[in-house]
Amino acid sequence: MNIDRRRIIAPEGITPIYPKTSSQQSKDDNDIKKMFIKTGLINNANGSSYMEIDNNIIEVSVFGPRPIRGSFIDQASVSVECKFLPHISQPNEGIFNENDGKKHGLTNIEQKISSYVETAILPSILLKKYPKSTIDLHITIIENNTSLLNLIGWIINCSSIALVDAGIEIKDIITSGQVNLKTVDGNESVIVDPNDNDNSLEVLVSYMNLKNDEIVGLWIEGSNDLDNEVLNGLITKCNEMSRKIRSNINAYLLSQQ
Amino acid sequence: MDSISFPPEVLERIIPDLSLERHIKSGIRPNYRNFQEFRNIEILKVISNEKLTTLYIKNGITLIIATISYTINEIMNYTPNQFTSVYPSLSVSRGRTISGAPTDEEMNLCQNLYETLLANKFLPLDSLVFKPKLKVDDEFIDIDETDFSSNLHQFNLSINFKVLGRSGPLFDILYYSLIECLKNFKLPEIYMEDSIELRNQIFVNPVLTPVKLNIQNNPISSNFGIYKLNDENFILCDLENESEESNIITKSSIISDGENLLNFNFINGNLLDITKDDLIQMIKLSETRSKKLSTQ
Repeated sequence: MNIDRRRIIAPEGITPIYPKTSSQQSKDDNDIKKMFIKTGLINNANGSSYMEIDNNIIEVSVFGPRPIRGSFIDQASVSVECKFLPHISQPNEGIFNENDGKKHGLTNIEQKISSYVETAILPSILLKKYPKSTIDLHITIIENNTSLLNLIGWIINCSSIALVDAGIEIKDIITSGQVNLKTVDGNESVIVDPNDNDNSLEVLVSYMNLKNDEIVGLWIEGSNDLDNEVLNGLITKCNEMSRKIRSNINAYLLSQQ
Repeated sequence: MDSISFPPEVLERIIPDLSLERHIKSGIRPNYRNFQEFRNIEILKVISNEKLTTLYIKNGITLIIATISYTINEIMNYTPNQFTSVYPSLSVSRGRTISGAPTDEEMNLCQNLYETLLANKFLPLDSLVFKPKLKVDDEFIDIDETDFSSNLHQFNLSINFKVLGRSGPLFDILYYSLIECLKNFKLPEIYMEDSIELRNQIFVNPVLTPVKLNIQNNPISSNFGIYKLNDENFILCDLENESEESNIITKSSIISDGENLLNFNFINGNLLDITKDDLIQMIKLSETRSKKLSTQ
């Protein structure tokens, strides 16, 4: 039996059943949630950003570029680590984190998020500018009341702002759009920036909007049949959302100068 | 040969001992605070619900997110008039680390917090032990003593600290956060349904009551360092930055509630000649600070 002697752990107890509450703000299907952005909160990180989106709170710290020890590498090595605060329920944890033996490392959901964020932001960073260096992104989810894909979309936005705050050279600011395709009695409707997945088809697309709207990340989740036309429509909606967020981020960054 | 000059912040990184000495000679500390000046503590936000309470606390440039929560255990018996503690976990954000393993500082702080709270006798076990109620027709009644499910249950409190922007020793601010979290934390009422299918499950009724604490005054932890220059001992309050932390290893940590001395910790790492007056001055400073913070 493995005993963790490095931590003082509370005894595992009975899981109580909590009353159902809904604290989410109602919004129109085409609206994007209101956001609050703040950069430079963390003094000993090279750059940081803090975002409140409805009742979700994300914080990203960027440590780097820092010199790497050991052998020479001709471009920066980027690592992304996403952690939920321990008492925060993780989206879909019943499915993904079940039988997850590693209690203190990253959970399966945290690994999925870290890996998507790393894939999406890597194309934008000019890695060759930072040989023999490391750039570390530390993402902390302080509050979460949304679906997995929606959360990841906002993490991407928050990470991009943190990279700008750190002064790391990038090709473009990555922003994401996330929409759901809801089918009720055969009628399909698209919900932009939804609060929950509601058994709908979820689409998350991350973009470099500056030139050609390059897609740097795509995640589709759901069991609906998809044809080209519907998929194109959903990707266009995601693009519109990412452009709106991008223009808001631009306005924020310009106001900070 | 030309001399090279460095700005103070660069000199502090290169030669921290010289930087500290020069600052003290000029009558100011490297962080531009007076010798007996503490960093400001500010509670930015308190979020509370039936599952947890989260506090955002700013101490100088350090931001602490403290979340206190609970688990529930069924217990066979317990001894009244005993005290318990809170199970702490801590993560200091400092860039790439080997994920999972806590650092020595994190482990020591957690152990210290756990033991200090236990020794302070602030958290009575009686306030955490309860018998679940039974919900019958929307009314909560006490379960019959002979009923098999009338066993005692206990809340185990655990607290998680996320430290962003560490700039000095953390024990004081973590202790402050812990006490504030306990004061703000409310426990829900736990009940069982009057149904055979749901008999093994416990439910949360979001009627919250504050945790009963054995705290009269506001206990505050303060830290001091002693620096010797030209045969004179200087007491520096609330150490901050690398130059002070790495050079001043004659230090003490004092917990006082303004009237009583609750904890006194002293390490003479620099092997200085410490006088009785130095110790009295540190205790008085901690008492004054505790009184001031209590009245804020």
